[in-house]
This record gives sequence, structure tokens and C-alpha cells, in this order.
Amino acid sequence: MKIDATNKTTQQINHYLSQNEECEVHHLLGQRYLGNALTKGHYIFYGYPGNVLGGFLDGAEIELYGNAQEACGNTMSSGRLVIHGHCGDALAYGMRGGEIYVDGNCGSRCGVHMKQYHHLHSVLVIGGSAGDFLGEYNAGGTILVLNQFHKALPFGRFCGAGAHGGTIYFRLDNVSNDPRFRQVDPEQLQKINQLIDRFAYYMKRDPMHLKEGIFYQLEIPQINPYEGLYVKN
Amino acid sequence: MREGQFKNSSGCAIACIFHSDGHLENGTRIKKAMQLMHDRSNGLGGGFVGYGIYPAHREDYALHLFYDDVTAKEKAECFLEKEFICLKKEEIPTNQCVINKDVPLIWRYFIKEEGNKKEFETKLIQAFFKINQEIQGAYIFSCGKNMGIFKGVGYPEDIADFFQLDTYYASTWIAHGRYPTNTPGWWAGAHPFGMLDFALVHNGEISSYDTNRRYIEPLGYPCCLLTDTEVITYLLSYLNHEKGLTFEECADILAAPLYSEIDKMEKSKRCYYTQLRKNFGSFLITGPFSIILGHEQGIFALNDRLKLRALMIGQKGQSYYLASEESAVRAMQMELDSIYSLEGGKPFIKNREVNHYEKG
Amino acid sequence: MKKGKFKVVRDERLCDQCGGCISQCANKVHYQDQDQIKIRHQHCVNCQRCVEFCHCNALSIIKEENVFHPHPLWSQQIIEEISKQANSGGILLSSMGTQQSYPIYFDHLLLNASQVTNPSIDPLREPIETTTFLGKRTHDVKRSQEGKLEIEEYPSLKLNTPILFSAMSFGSISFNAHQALLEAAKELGIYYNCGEGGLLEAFYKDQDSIIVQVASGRFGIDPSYLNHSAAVEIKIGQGAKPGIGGHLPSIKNKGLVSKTRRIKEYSESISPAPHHDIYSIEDLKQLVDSLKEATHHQKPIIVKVAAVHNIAAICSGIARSGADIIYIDGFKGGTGAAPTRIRDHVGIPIELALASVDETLRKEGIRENVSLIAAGGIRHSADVVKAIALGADAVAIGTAALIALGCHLCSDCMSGTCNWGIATQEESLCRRLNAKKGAQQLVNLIQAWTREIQEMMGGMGINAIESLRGNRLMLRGIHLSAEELDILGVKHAGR
Repeated sequence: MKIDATNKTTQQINHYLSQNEECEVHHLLGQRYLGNALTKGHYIFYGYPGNVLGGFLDGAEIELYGNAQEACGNTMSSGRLVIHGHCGDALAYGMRGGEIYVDGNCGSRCGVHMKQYHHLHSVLVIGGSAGDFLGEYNAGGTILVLNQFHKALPFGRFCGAGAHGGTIYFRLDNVSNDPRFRQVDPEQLQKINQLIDRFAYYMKRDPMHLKEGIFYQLEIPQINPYEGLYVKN
Repeated sequence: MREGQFKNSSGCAIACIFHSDGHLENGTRIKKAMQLMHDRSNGLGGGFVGYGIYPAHREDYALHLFYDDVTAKEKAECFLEKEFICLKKEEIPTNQCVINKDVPLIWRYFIKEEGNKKEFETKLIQAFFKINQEIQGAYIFSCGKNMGIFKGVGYPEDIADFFQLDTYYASTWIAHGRYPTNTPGWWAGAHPFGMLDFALVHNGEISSYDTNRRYIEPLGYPCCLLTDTEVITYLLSYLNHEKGLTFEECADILAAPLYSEIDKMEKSKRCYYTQLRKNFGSFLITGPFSIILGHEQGIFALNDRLKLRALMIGQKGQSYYLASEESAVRAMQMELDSIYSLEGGKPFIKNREVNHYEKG
Repeated sequence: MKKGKFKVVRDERLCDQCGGCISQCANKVHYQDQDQIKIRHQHCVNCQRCVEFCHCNALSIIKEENVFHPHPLWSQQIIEEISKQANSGGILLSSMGTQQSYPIYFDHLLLNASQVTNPSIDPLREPIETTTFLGKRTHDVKRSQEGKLEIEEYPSLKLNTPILFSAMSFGSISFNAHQALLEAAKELGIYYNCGEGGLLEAFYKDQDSIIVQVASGRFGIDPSYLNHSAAVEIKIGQGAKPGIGGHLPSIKNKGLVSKTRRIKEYSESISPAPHHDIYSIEDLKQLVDSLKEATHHQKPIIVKVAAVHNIAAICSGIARSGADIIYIDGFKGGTGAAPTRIRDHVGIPIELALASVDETLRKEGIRENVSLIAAGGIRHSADVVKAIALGADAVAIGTAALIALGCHLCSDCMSGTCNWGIATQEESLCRRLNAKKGAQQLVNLIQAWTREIQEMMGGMGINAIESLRGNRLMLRGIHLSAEELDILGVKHAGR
């Protein structure tokens, strides 16, 4: 089933999506909240949908050929978002489970407060680089930044600020002496390679190419940031 | 209640088309961008500014005024005619089929520049404050050369139709859709806010407002509207018009780098930024904002330093397309050479490469 | 009067007669009488030393129960004061800040927080800057031939957090107290003020953290003193005693105190009421300029004044005198000793003074000529935030710092027998204050306040302290008259 989104509203498109578990939507431009809270189905989008693409997603799979805007994958529980393009700010905010793969770059405050719970484990793989505050407040889940465009550092300022769980992996071309970074161990590398294989599969890229370089993990303080912060009054 | 009688919070949509080669286009595409971002406005304000729209009066100042009634109009005209040489006056053509609620009288005047430009502009600013503060029911909402602001209460796309923007040709278009939290809708309260060649649109609500306002007011910029847009325009006008600071320097003041970053810079940069922060602390803007300022030569855009608002910049040839959302950029120009998100605290500054506007 | 203000209660069931209280109390409240420890209640100042140190937890201090005939006008305190004066013919003296119940305007100001229209931010994760520069600011920009921006550099103070320690002289408080304040200031990246009693030579090496004071007594001042500093403060007045000089009794002027003040041992150490080289505002400029010459234009000059009725005009004059920083001390500020009637009846609250000064300087376009330090009753971090939102660049704390060092505010500083080793020069008492531990307590206090300031700023969505300065929209008044709101420049809550 194919839909032309031209001049269609969010509600009209979301209605089609809920009626059809497999469909393609073309010529998206600015429609917000697409696929919100969908529990099943596989959808392929083309174009430039508006904010909150795949918000509260709970099982469905959405693939986008084009760029996504702000708040993509907001509070996602499960399912998969595959973005063959760039992503705006606040991607994957409060994500509890499921997977998001972005081929290009993403904006600021991505992967903020990701978490994990029981069998749910959120995964965010960014092919390019991220802006400031990547993985801020992180409480669980895995972020992997593949740095396909070979930046010296594939994220901006305050990466992992206030994180108290979860893992942030990233790829560098050169050895880094930054004390915040720790080179990954073989076990972690194996996990990373699995994620790369999946990313490469979705993006139809050569995984070997993406496995070159050096993988680092951002040190997330294991100490409780709140310890010693308060005193009972 | 009107703007100026209370402090108003508002969220917004902003967009801009800028042709660095000076070529002109009508208001159709900028309207499309605003239409797409309909949900970011709530119908209580929309507006546009075009640069290069009055080629027949390119050397004259175009004053756009709102009047509540004929009395206000008579008073303001009496004042203007006494102070300035008015070359032409006319009612701004509008399509009242689109909006017909609480529409004020909307007039424009072309005023001849006399003597020294700087002195004349000082006089014009005095008239701007005089009319806006003292003549009840009259409000100058645009007063630059060869440019004009069109704004009012309504959704931006309706404002565009109301003012028939498809009949105006500009090399820079900047637009604003407003989401004020409480205003009964006063036409002058819509944005862009303009002063001389500056016209500013803003998205976000700044937290430094009263620090900025209390500082700039005694310097001759009374804040009558109590909006963020107004105060930011004044800060920029003071820094750029009065102090001769470049837009790069203005950005380094309004969205200064953090001390933690400054302390890591090499010496000359460290001194530069420390000095700016030390001396211009009252101009720092905190809280979320993205702004686009239009001026005689081009545009200036800036995001807050913690990057709490999004602003996308697309380029196609010598033209630039800015909007709060990428899809709005694509609505203006689907095929682009490049598109990126403006980083926090890093300005986007583009000037026209030619000194004239060309009808394209 | 036979009875004091307090009564010491010993729970004989708990007391093991160890005698610790006897050795702890320099006021000799506790004494051994044969095999019993007895109590002279009338000597007790309620410093809580014995209570804190009683390992049996057997002691409590309560208010003296004996009451005079209640009278709405002639309170017990008034009667006692009249009696004291009738017996002695003396001027009443008091220590610490006024105990009269004047309105505390800080407690009538409420802070704002962001909801929806803009985001609050979290200091644990996001940068919230408290760095503050104090000094003259300028907007006069010039350009070099290459077009580079050139801004004249005026001497300034850089503070990591907008709090300073206020001036307390060596003599009025102990060496260890001074050392603790200095060490804490160094660690915190703020400033210690040596007060008017000279600067201990042992501190010279830490001059970058020191503000030296030039008061009317000119104790300890020579070019070396002036230059071993980060800034020089001209003390015109003090909030607790505007218009009044100072007096360190000869008994305290011995040893290191006399050496540091550079005056003869056991002479009276008197600070005149005015500076006798300043009889008018233009004379202030003369002192400011001569101090600038003496310090090679390297140090910012602070002028400290008490908040009095005409404070806005006074500060406007100071802002035009070449001074870089104005320190306004509200009438609730502390003191080692001040005439009671002056302390309790002269001057105005810092909140009103500050609001009025800030507004006046702005209206006159000279606000950036000077930075403003507000002091006199800053009790906690919310007071700091409110003071800055009213218009201060920074605040100074004295009493709060002393409390961090162990002071229990018994307000008996002038006796010189401070059981906590703070307001004393008695060797044995001074030893009770461990400078290192004291410094740590001060560091803890200021760090905790700074975190709280950041929390409050974050709540308001403000990520740099300069955007809080004078941001009165962040304040609302409660239970205030229209006049008070007008002076404070804030709206009433709900508006």
C-alpha cells in the first residue's frame, strides 16, 4: 500500500497507518506525530516529517528516507526507528526500550535520560555525530556513535552530563588521551560489533568499514551524584 | 490589556529567505513555510518583513502605522508632518476578507531623509518613541528604508494574504508566527519588531528579560511592549548602531561562551571573551531563544548558548533558507545544497554580496 | 539587677560531676563548691559552650523565668537598661546585629521558577555559572588599526561565587578566625577582608585573596599593606553603627594585635567617626585617587558605606568618585561592639537600600561605573539570590561566616571571653578554634549555598549569575504595601 502525503494531515496519515500494518508514505512534509504509539506494523516513510516522529512507539517499525526533526522517538518503549538521514534535537528522549538507528548526524540533547528496565533495553546508534548534551541524565541503555564523517570528536559539549547509568560508545580515528574516555574491552567490542552489523544491515552499508578505528567508552561515574549533596533539615 | 501592560510569554515559529545576490521574490514561499508550521502559532499573531520592497522609494524611510481610530491618525499625522517631509502617504492595501476582526487603520508614509543620516535616524527614533508612547492609539511598527513589516493578529499565513504579500518583492523575507500565552490580540504586539532597518523575530522565552530591560531602558530604549523581541532588538541596536560592534561581537556578548570554555582558550581569545563578559554582562541573554534579525545589509541569526531551540539553515546556491523546522525549510526550497542545524551560541551572519536589490 | 537573662539547668541524674563545664566556661558560670558543681546563672550569656561539651548531655539553658511586671511600653529590657545606665552613667553597648524586630524584607520576597514557557535547568548536569567580576565596567570600545576590539581593562575582582567575607578586624576576632576565613576564601576563589586592624604579615603571601581595609583609624596601613591585597576597601561606615567610629579597648591591644595595628601596646585603639580627610564627596574622590596612585592603579577600590536614609544619592556620588565597587551595609549587620541605641535605631534595611541604589544608578546611567556588594543580614542562599535579583553584584557575609566557625550568637563579643575562640584574644580561648577545621566549615557552607543558588537559578532558567543581577521580574512581594513594592521595584505575588 502506498500513500501520497501531499496535503494530508497528521490525523489522516496516522489513520492509514493504524489501518494498514505495512505501508509506504511518500512526500511527507512537516506532518507531526507520525506513527505515535503504534504497537505493530512496518512502515516506510519518504520525505521530511515534522516533530515527534514515532513518539511513544511501542512495537512498530518505522523507516524514514529523509531527515527527521525534533523529538523523534520521544519516550519510546519498544519497536524500531531507522532514519536514513539526519535527526534534529532531543532524539530518543526518555527512551525505555527499542532501537533507533540514524544514518547521519543528530542535534543537541539526544539520548537524554535513556533507560532500561527488565527485558527492555534502549539502543541508539548514530551513524554520524551528535550535538551537545548527548546522553545527558542517562540511566540505562546503550548509545553508539559511529562517527562516519570522521570528526575529531563525534559529540559536542557536556556529553553524558549527570549520567548515572547506561553506556555511551563512540568511534575515533585516532588514539585519545582524554581522561574521560576508556578504550573498550573485547567483550564490549563484541557488543559494539553486533550493533554495527545491525546498523549496516539497516543502512545497507559495509560493516567492515564501520568497524575500523578505535572504540571508546565514555566513563560514566559509578558514584551516586546525589551522595553528599543533601543534608537532612 | 495590550503588550506593555503585562509581561507576556510566548513560543513561536520563525522562518527566513535570504538571497545574498540581492534578487527579489514575492511573499509566496515564505508564507508556505509559515503555513507548514501552523501548529507553532495560535492565531494570536503573525508577521513578515521584506527588504527591498519599495524600489520606487529606496532612499526614503517607509513608516508603517497602526491607528485605533481617526483621532489617533490625525494626531500622529499632524506630528509627522510637522517633523518630517512626507513624500507620500497611503493606506496599506489589505484584503479584509481574510481577517476582519479588530483590524486597525493601517497606513504608510514615505519620509525624506534630510541632512546627516545618523542625526536623521536619531530624530526618527525619537519620533518612534514619541508616537508609540504618547499618542494614544497610534503605533509605528516599521520605519526602515526600502523595507517594511507587515503584521497583525491572526495566523501568519492569513496575515500574508491579508497584506497581499504576493505583490511585494523582497530579497530578504523574515516571518514570525506567534504563540503568546495571554494576549487579547493587539496588532502592534505581533512580530517582527522593527526599529530603523532592524527587524527581529524570536522563538523562545528568555529568562534574563528584566536584567536586559532594566539595563537598556535608561540608555534611551524604553521597553513599551514588554516582549523579549523588543528588548533583544534594543540590545542589538545599542551594540551595533550605537557602539559599532560587529554582529560577530554582538553574538559573543548575547550568547557568550561559558567561563569553563573561555578559561581553556588561548590567551588573546581568553582576554577578548573575558573582557566582553566582564563589561557586557547585562547584555547576556539566558533561557531558550533563536532569533533572526534582518538589517540593511543582510541577516543575523543566533541560538542561545545551551541550544534550547532549533534553527535549521539550508543553502541553495546563493540563497539561504532558515526556519525553526527542517520541513519548513523544505517547504520553501525542497532541493538544497546543504542543510544544518545552527549550533548554540554560534551566529549565522550573511550579508548581501551586492549593494542593490534585483528583481528576479 | 540580681538575675541575668538565662538560667542553666543541670540534670543531676545525668551529670557525672566531671567538671568539664567549669573548664569550658570562661564566664565562670560553673564552679566547684566543695564536692558540688554550682551555677552562677547571672553570668551566663547563653553561648551554649557547656551544653555542647557536656558529655553527659546534662545541661540546658533556658530563659530566666523571673519576669518583671508586664507592661506594654516599659518592657523588662527597657527597665533593665535604664537601671544599668542609672548605676553607671554609661552608653549602652551591644554586640552583633540588632535584636529589634524590624521587618525582614527578604522574607517578604518570593522567587520565581519556570513552568512550560521556558525550561528550568538542572545544575547537576548543566552549566550554571556563578562566576562574578566586581569592578568598573565600560562600553567604551575602540578599535586597533587592524580592527581589533580594544576595551580598557579596569582592575577587578573575580569571584567563583558571588559571596565575600566581610571585614572583621584582627583584635575584634582571633588569629585563628582570620586564618580560617583566609584559607576558606583561597580555596573557594572568593575574598577575605582583613578589616581595619591591619594585615597579619603571615598572610602577605596570600594577597590575591585579600581585601585590605582603610578605615578612619588607619591602623596598620603602609604602602606594603596596601599592595599586599587584591583590592582596597575604604570603610566609611558600618551597618550596625552608621556615623560612629570604633574602639578596641586597650586591654585587647597587646602582642600581635598591637604589632599588626602598628600601634603601641595597651593604648586605646580608636577609629574616629569620620575620615578626617573626607568631609565632602569630592574628598572621597581624593582618597580614592590617592589610593589608586599608591597601588599603581592595579587594585579596585571599594567604598563601604552604611545604608542610611539618603543612600541612593550617596552611592550616586560614590559611583562618580572613581571607586570601582560600592559595599552597602544594611542596618542589621553585625558588630563586635556598637552603642545599642545606634545599632537599633540608625540606618535602613539593606533590601530597600539596595533596590533604591540600583534603580538610581541605572536611571543615571552610571550603574556600570561600579559593582554593588550588599551586606547586613544575609542569612542563607535564598537571601543571596534575592539580593542579586534586586540588583547586587555580590553579597558579603560576616555573622553567617562566624556561625560557620562555631559562633552561637550569644552576642557577648565585646567581653572578650568568647568561649568559641572567635571574638577573643585570650590565648587559652583562641586555641579552641581550629583554623583548619574552621576553614573547612566555611568552605562547606559556601559550597552548599552555591549549590542552592544554582538550584534556584536553574529553576528560573537562568544559567549565568549576570542574568540574575537586577532581574526583579524573578521576585514577587508578599504582605508588602504599595510603597514598599514600589521601592523594591517588584510586583505583588499574584500579579
